[in-house]
Amino acid sequence: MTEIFLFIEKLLSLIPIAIQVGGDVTAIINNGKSALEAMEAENRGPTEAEWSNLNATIDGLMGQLKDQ
Amino acid sequence: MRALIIFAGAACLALSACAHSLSGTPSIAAQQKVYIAENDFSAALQVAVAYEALPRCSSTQPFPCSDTAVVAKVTAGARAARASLSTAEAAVRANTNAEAITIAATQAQTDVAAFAALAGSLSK
Repeated sequence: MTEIFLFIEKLLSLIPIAIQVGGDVTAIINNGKSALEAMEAENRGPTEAEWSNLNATIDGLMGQLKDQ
Repeated sequence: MRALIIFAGAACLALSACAHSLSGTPSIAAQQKVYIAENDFSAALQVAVAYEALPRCSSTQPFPCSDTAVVAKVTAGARAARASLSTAEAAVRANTNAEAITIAATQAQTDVAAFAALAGSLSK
């Protein structure tokens, strides 16, 4: 799983400058990485709060998508 | 837009590992993998939102701009992937049926891959 994060971080540099969201995307990935590290250290799945926060993030982004 | 492929691909990889690792009682690992797949999806979604936010391409609006038809396709793909991920999340959190988890994770993988394919078409 760590390899996937490293791969994503490396390829973030390929995001066109015209779409300057690298910082936001990095933050999302880093948050996920931190959460996963905590889960692995504590031998647990995501907490209710972690699921809720992630779903809130996704719902917020989905709300910004338009059909046209 | 390669970033969309990359992040959706990462989600696809995570779900693939999830589906293959299931055996017997649903595990903490399955929950973690669906969580990470959703997190990766949210990263790809960030890029999709940024693309959608660009002004629509026209004769008076050159690059950087977003194509109306592409925006519609990406939005539909994101919604399908989101629905599948929600189903997979509900399955792993219920933690009662290993077969249901495998089916849900596989469907989510299919829809996330379709989302990645849409993203791939953006660069052509």
